[in-house]
Amino acid sequence: MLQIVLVWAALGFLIGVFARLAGARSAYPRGVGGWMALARWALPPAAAALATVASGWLATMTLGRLAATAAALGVAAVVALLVALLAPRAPVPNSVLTRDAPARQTERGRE
Amino acid sequence: MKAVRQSAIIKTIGGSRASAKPRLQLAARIVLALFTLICLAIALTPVGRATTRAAVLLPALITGEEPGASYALGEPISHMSQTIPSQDGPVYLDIYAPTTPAPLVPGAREGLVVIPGVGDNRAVPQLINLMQSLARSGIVAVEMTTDTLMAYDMAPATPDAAVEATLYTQRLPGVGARRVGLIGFSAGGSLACIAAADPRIRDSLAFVTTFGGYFNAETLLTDVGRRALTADGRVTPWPVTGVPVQTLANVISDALPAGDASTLRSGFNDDGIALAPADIARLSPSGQAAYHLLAGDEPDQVVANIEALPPALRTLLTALSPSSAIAGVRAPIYLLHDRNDLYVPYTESRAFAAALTRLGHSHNYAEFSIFQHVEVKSGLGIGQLARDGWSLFQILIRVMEPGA
Repeated sequence: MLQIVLVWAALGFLIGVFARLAGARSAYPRGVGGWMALARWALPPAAAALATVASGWLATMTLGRLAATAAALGVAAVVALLVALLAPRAPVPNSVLTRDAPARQTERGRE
Repeated sequence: MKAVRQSAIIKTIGGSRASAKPRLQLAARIVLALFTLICLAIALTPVGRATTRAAVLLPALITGEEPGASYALGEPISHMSQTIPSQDGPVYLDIYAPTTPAPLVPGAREGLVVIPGVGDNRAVPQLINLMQSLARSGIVAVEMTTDTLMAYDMAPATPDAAVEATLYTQRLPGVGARRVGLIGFSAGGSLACIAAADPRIRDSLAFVTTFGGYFNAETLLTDVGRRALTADGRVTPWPVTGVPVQTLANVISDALPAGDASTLRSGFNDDGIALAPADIARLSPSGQAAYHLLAGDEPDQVVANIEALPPALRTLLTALSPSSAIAGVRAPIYLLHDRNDLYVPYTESRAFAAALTRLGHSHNYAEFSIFQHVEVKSGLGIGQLARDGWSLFQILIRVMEPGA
């Protein structure tokens, strides 16, 4: 079981990495470096990996391992897509905002 | 003024980046949405599940090794040996099965009885890899053989062993009784077809697959006698190898007088033909006819030699021929054959397919060049693998459907 969980986690992580292209961003604050930056980068892939493992484990009992893997990857892609669609837009560079925008737009400001 | 110009430059640069980024994001989102739909279709539809299994199994068939995907994503499996009785004596079963319970969907596992042909193939690595890959994909795979088959022989009672193995598989825990199919390699394919017509299983059998089998034992003997085969109206040389000749010698010997039988059995073996002219001269007329057919030294006398065989032998050949049993088969039949088969000519499967077409029986037929008889060749080109792999994949999907 450990083996397939690791495979699911790896595949889910890859989907999460791809989801960043689709616009998925973690809500972790910008401007931090080192481990925090790494954690910020890895949050969406980690969420997709977790979704894959959880749904794969649940689907195994219903569909068997091979079909469960397909189902789990589908769920991970849905999660990744939702994260991409619902994620807050990244802050616009200050140099532009100070000249043209009426007010600084931040994630907090838009709330 | 300077500040406004600087702002415009920044906006222009930002604008080009901004227009590229949404396009990339949109494309990635479409890819994710399509991926989701494909994954869910694979997981939630029977055809999708069968396709997944076929895709995982295909590499095992065309490489002869258990693929990494099967090992990493497949079910944990167990192997056990069992012996059951039959009219042909004990049937030796090797059962490869998933250790996890049958999934709620579809509710029961598919069973597959594999007849690997003549000889003792139980330790052949390609066969073990195939059996393990089948089990890891969720199928209960049961390999069967008998003392007769292991002695490179076949008897009218041998198909009963396949029937008993099928009935045993249908009763295994977690296996759906109507989800069990038969697959036979080489002579095992022909036995599978004969067994499929047995009233005890013919209505419950999910499918029969024969790979490199013969359709009619008498036409096979004719081709062996001529060392040639006729395809598309052309006669081409066919240099048949030792095992089929040895097996035919053993089968024929079962219906010949005892003296002829022992001479032929000892005369055709792994080393080829080992009979002196004096041994041949001592054979009865029917024994001599059988000898010349097996040795292929009278290609122009094949018809006369066939007619010189004793009626009991011709009845035996008929009893061991799928051509005499197909009318009683209800299950769909999938035929596979190597185009350059040196054990059983591919024209046998062509004749089989033609007969099924005439009967209106559900079947599929595919010819390959990536195998030698039933074993995978090495050093194959990508184009050849892709072409034959696709044909094999389509039949594999059908074979996987009962358990999906």
